[in-house]
Amino acid sequence: MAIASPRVRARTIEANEFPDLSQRHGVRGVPQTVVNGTGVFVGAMPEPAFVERVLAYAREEAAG
Amino acid sequence: MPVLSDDLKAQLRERLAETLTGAVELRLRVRPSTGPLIIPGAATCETCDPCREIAEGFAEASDHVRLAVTEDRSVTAPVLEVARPGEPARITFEGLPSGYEFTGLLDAVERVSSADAGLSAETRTALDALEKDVELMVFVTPT
Repeated sequence: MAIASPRVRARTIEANEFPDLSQRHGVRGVPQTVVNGTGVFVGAMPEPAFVERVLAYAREEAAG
Repeated sequence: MPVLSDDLKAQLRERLAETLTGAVELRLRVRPSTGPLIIPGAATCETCDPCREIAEGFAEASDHVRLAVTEDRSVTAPVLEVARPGEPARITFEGLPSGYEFTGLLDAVERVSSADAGLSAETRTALDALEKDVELMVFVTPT
């Protein structure tokens, strides 16, 4: 998504090397995706489901 | 013990010769290496040297890959950005990209090189409609 859109930034974070960040976001299982610091979902999933979740959180945040 | 075996380096060279078309820049921020020296009480970055080795492995494997390293004493874990030269990085690997994440790094390098995200038309349309920036943090472990 980060390659396709200049609006998207993708950070892959090794949970064990960033324990404070992992704890702040309540990481219990991986992969855990955090969208704009607040939207959270866990697990690998097909592209359509992943994109839908990301965009839903992004829209939710934009709506305030 | 080297992170990348000679066999893996050879496979990487062969793979990147087939897949890379455009230039890719790896921007790595690491703590300065102290080699085998251990300084009691000093902050460390245990994965900085292995990460540097991986990044150097990519740069040595293909003329399309350029590596820029910044040494920073405040670093406790490496940060590796993957980008087109001259463009801001939107893909970063924070921590050592080992195990399954090595494959993720390889995929990122190849996709940045080709500018092909490999996404469906529907996804691309949805991304084009984004009105605000989106930051994705994906927490992983090596295995």
